[in-house]
This record gives sequence, C-alpha cells and structure tokens, in this order.
Amino acid sequence: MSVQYRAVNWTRHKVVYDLVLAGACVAFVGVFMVMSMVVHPPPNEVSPPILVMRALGTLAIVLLHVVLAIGPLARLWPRTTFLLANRRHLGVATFLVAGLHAFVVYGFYGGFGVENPVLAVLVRPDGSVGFEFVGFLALLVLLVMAATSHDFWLALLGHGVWKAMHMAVYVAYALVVAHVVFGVLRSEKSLVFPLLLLGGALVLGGLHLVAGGREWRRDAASSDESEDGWIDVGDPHEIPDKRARVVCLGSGNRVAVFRDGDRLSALSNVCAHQGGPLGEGEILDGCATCPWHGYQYHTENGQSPPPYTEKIPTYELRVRGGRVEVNPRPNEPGTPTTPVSITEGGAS
Amino acid sequence: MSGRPGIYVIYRPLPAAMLTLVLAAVGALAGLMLGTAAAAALGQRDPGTGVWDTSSAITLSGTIVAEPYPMLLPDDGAAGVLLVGVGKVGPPQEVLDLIGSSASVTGYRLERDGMRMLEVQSTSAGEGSGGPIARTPADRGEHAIATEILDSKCYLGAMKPGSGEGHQACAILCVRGGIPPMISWSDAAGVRHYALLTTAGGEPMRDEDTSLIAEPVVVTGTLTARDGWLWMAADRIER
Repeated sequence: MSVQYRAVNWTRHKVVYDLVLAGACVAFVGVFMVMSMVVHPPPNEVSPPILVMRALGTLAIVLLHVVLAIGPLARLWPRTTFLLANRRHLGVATFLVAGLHAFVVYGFYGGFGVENPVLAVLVRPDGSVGFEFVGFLALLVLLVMAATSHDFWLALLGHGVWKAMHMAVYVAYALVVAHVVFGVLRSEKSLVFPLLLLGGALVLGGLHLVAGGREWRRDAASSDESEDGWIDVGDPHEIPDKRARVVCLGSGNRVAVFRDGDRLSALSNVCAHQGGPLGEGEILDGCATCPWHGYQYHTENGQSPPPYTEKIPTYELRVRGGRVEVNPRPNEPGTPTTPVSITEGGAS
Repeated sequence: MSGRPGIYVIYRPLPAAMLTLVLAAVGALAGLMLGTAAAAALGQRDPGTGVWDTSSAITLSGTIVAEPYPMLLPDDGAAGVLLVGVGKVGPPQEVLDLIGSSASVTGYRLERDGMRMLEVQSTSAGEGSGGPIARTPADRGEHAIATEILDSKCYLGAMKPGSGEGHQACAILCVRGGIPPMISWSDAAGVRHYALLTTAGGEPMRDEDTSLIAEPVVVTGTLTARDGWLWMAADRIER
C-alpha cells in the first residue's frame, strides 16, 4: 500500500521475487544455448545470434504462459496467491524479454543491409506483411500494458478501466500464438514445437475454464433471498474466524462477510486497488486484508487505516434463526456499520 | 483459526508454514521452464554444415568474372568462389572495377558442401593478364524443381540455418542487396544439389521474384554447369 508516488515500492519479497525471476530467465537462456550446442555441436552449430533470438522468443512465450496461468491458479488454489502478488513485475519482464527478442531479430535479420532494419523485417517488398508483423503487434500490446502497469495508472484510470485494459494480455497471447504458428511452425519440422504450443494452450484454457466454472457454481449456489430481499449467507458459525464467506447478490456483486471472533461485518468483495477478491483474504491487524497485494480495510467501515485513503462499500447484516443475512443494497464506500454478533437472533 | 498457514502479504514476513509451499511451487515452475528450454532447443532442425570462418582471412588469386554474379575463378582451376561484401550486400566497388582482370582477393571464407564464397576485405590487381576465359557451360536440361530460394551468404554459413520462413526477411534483404540467390534440393538418391538462380536470360534475379524467397516454390527452367557451379535459368517460379 502506498500514499505517495514511487517507481517501485520495494519490499524484501519483491526483491527476492525479482531476483528469482531474473535467475530463472538467465538459466532458461543458458539451458537453451547449452542444449542447442549439445544437439548441434560446433562447427555445425546454429548461428549464435539466431540461438539468442530463439532463446529469448521461447522465454517470452513461457513467461506469458506463466503470467496467464497465475490468475486462475490463485483462484483454484489460494495458497499460490504469492505468485500473484508481484505479477506486474512478471508482466514487465515478459515485455522486456520479448523486446530483446525483437531487438535481436531486427538487428540481425533486418540489419547490415540496404534498408531500414525494422521495416526490412516487418514489411515485404510487395507491401505485404508476415508473421513478424503479428509479433510486432503483440509486442505493442505488451508495451502498452507494461507502460501502464504502475499504480499511478491504476489510480488514474480506476481499477475497472485499468483491469479491462489489461485484459488485452489475451489479445497479446492470441497474436503470439499466430506469430509462432506462421513463423516457427512453418520453418521447423519437429513435433516438439506444435506440442509445446498446444500443451500450453490446453493448460491455460483448462485452468481458466475450471476456475471460471467453479466461480459460476459458487455464485449460483449463494443467492437465496428472504421475503424482504435480504440474502442468506448461512450459518455464521461455519465462517472460520478471521476469514470470510463470499456470497453473490442478485446484481452480480459479491459481498465478503467477515468473522472476527463473534462479530460479523460485510464488505464489498472487490478490493479498491486492483479488484482483488477481498473475501479470500483474512483479518490481519483488525483489518480485512486482500490476498493479492495486502490492501487493508476496517471491517466496520470499509476504510483503509490512515494514512491510506481507500474506501469500499459496506453492507448491513442481521442474524435471524441462526442464519446470517445481508442486505443486498450497498452503503456508500466507507460508510460505518455496526457489526452483528453471531449469537444474535437465536443463533444455535 | 482456519488451520491454513495464513495468507501471503507482500510487505509482511512470510508465514513459516508457507515456506515449503513457496519453495515447492518455485521449484516446479523453474523445472517446467527449464524443461521447456531444453525441449525447444533439442527440437531445432539441423542447421547443416555451413562455415563462416572469421578467425582469419584468406587470400585467393584468380580472375574476377561477373556473369551475372561476381565470382573469382581461382588460378588453380578450382570451382569459382562467389564474392560478396561485408553485410548483406554484393562485393565492393574495388572488386567490380577488376571484373575481367586477374586479382588477389582477401576475405573471410564461407563454405558449405564444397561451395565457396569470400566476404571481401580487400582486393588487389593481379599479375596475370586476366584475358578471356573459356567458360563453356554444360547443358543439364530442363527441370522443374520443388525447392526454396535461399540467399547464398546466409545459407553457406553466415546465418545458419539460413533457410525457412523465419529467415525470409533476412534472405530477401540479402538478395535485394546483391547476394546471389540459390536453390537447393535432393535427388532420388538423397544427394544434395545446389544451383545459383538467374532469370531465363541469365540475368540477376528479378526484384519482383524476391517475395517468393523462403517460400515453398517450384522453379522451372534450364540447368547448366559452369565454373564448378550449377546454374538454374528460371523460366517460371511458382508457389
């Protein structure tokens, strides 16, 4: 959390995350180069610049798969949320590696000739374009996303617009797949490449479908209404202490009902930072804490502890007949509410 | 409490119970990444036996000819050596100034399957007269060859493997810059053949044909043997 502009709010975790990421990237390129030399040893080796561009291109695609897999992974197995906490650095790293790949391609395939190196690669003499242009478009998408990844843009655009904009990562993925299909798969005959590409697509598609399906089933199962329109949340004793139960309202909005000892409070499930699933976090320091980036909110008023200024909507709760119910009408962000006791209203 | 190890918060100490999970996940991801790197590296096609020896320049003496691509015909009677410049361009003007003359050419050797090229570093006029040379072509008949048009510099060793869709932009740039185009194919016995490509009239390849470089094409025309090379005078180039 931050109340002032900083390029990166470094923490020990971020430093370790980035060092591990950088080490993995270097190891990837190293393994690629060494294994290439093993299978095609000198003097019959692949030219070093081509090895570098291939290694970087492959690495960029692998990183893009990891970026795309982290979201559904964290939804399916919340314990893996630590991968998500610094996902933006992973996204920026993906762009940098892809950019390096393009730089080497423009330098060696487009350079040393009689034409502009970038245009020589992107545009054929007859004005047509090839798979390189598709890769260039993917790089542009990644550039826009990397350039707007900072919280400055998040605050400026609002997390709804920002998130919608960053869904363009799926456009980048589609462009990258096309780049590989019309480039690599037309040049290389080994089954390794289509199998890797297909395997990656199946894993990503499978993760997204399973995560989405589970969320859809959970939402569908949590919309029982009382006669006056309040939504049944369930037996309050079944909510683990310091944690929340998430229910979907008829409007599609989700509410996180937190239990802190014998007190219950309801907040919007959408974190004001990046729209993270607040209800999958827990109460730390007396505040509901988002599992994505640790943004915190007082459970009784939806306000971040000073000096932070984020606010999210709160909801009214009541306990009747041993069941906790939530009023689906949200209060204005930051509106104080009175927590209810799990023993109110004849709790069992 | 829920019995879970606690959530991960990026600005707080890592819960001790999560350390094993974090290490296992990072290890699994790293293993997956490095496995992919190894698989992709092993899947690369054979780049062939091309050589680009930039460790030391060699000097060859002979007569420079240019019908249609500049070439040195060595005094020792060996096959002609293609001459190109540094980068994706044909030979420098000093070579062109000596066409038809005896010369010594110094440069870096590119070679694949006995076909040689020099990336010219310097040229000097030779002592011989450089008079007319008997270069009688041997007719090898009409052929329709399924192949790919390559740029000879990259394919002989400058940018291995120097073929395929991925190399198309580079190959087009090379040929447009003056690097001789060539084709390669295998006969029924599996023997690899190479031929330098010209128009039907024996002129350098037309600019409009460069869009077909690195594409699967059928080249139809007349094959001749001359100066230790095969030459394909193409009547038609079709996808």
